Amino acid sequence: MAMIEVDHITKRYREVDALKGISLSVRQGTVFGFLGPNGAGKTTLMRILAGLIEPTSGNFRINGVANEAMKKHVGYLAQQPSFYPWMTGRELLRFSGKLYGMASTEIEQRISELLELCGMQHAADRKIGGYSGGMLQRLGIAQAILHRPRVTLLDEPASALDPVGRKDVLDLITRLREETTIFMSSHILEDVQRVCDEVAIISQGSIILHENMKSLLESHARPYMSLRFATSSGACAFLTLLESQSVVGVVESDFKVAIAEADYHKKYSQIMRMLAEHDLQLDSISRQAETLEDVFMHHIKEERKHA
Amino acid sequence: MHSHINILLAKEVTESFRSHRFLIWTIICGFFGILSPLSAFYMPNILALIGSTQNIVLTMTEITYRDAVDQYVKNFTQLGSILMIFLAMGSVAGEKADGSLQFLVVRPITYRLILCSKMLAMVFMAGSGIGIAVIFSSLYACYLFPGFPLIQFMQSNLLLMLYLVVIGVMTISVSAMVKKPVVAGLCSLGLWLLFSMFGSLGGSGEYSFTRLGTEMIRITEGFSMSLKPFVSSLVILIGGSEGSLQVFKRWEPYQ
Repeated sequence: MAMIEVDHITKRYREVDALKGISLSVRQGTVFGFLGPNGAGKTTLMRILAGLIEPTSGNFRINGVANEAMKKHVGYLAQQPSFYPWMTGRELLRFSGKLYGMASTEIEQRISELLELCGMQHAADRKIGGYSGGMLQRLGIAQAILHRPRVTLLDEPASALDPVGRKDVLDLITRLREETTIFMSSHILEDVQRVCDEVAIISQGSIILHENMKSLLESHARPYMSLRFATSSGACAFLTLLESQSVVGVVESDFKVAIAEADYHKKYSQIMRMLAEHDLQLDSISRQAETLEDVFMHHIKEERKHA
Repeated sequence: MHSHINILLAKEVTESFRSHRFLIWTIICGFFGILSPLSAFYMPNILALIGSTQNIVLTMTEITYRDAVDQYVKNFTQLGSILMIFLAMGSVAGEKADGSLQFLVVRPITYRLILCSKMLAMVFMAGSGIGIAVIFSSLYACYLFPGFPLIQFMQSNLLLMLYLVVIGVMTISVSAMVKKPVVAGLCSLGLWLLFSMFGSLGGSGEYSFTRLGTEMIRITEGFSMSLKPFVSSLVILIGGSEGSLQVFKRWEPYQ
């Protein structure tokens, strides 16, 4: 069953087309990763789905509901969460629960559960005005899922968190897939690769790729060989030699050169000879698979070339 | 919807307490309540004291409760109005500017409820302040001016309350239409000055809500009141809030 259905949504800000006819569908129980460079339209689409702004044209349904009533089924964490500084974290959650029509006992029970889940028990009775960015983000996640929404929209949920906090949030998202459909945007592609089942890449207001994560990595992420040299001059010299043999090599870092796995196997003997003849000392050779980040960069570069 | 307005109203009232807006307003109203009869009563002494240092003799007609009521009305319709604008200007624009309004908008509540709760909280604050001012000024006026018409004075304060509510609603309406509290404050101040100038005109000026102060004095003195100032009051209360609601509904957070 499709939990989020977006049909030809456009959004125009004066002369700028922020969204150019976006259509997509997200199945129930999916953790959906929404990727794109800055200004691509990620936040705009998430704000439309949250009911915060109106699309210029097109429509969408959340849990089959198209009008204002869909807000009951949605939980939303903004990119830069901002709450009432004079409230305490607990008061904010209580206020939110009441607005969703939850019973008092249920609210209190859910608040204790979420404060523990988000690691916020120690700060629950402190004023929000004194919270750090990470604490605001944790509280933001708690308020987004308090009412057990059918769809949770998380705009950069781990952007303000330290590595420990980031891991906690990713674990939380993994656990939440049982009870809610998650639609998240993130610049941390490693996180998206780790938790998302499905991914879409948006660029300049249009979706340029929408695929299942597993099949995306299988079809787009080509394996390559990574050769690590003892010195950076060795890596540079090897790269020049590769060019003379018409093999494409890519500099990974000062000491590392990457070659497509197919090229490596095809020209294996030539490569080994080059290394021996020029006395280039290798530290290691390893087989690597392209990550979501590589796929993302590749698609964005292609899109910009065409634009 | 009924329960939502209660929840939102409770939030607004709590905010006015914690941000000290309620405290500031009630203290100043109480101060006006005490100051008005006292300053009227002691004005001859104050003027005589000033005159003696300048070698001049100032003569005044006999001071009555009317001077106290005049002073009371002036305090509220001048400084009180400015203070009300200052306290209400950030009610919506402030939440837009700091981003906290997004928290409400994504929840299953209407823009009308958000605006209504802010206006009702302002009515509660204005009413509390006026209540305190009435208590203090009545106590002092009854003691200092025998024959002070207490009941009429209390009734006339309902007009003062309406006057302040109109200013509050006007400021909140402007606040719902603009993005920054300062802009809301300046626009409201401008509107208030325009209505005041309009009110100082004869003829059509009698329809300005700023004439409610004059009507208040008339009621205290036992005269019947004119309904003309109620016209612009109603226009602002209904038209202003409905108009601002239409603009507020189209609000979108910064990109």
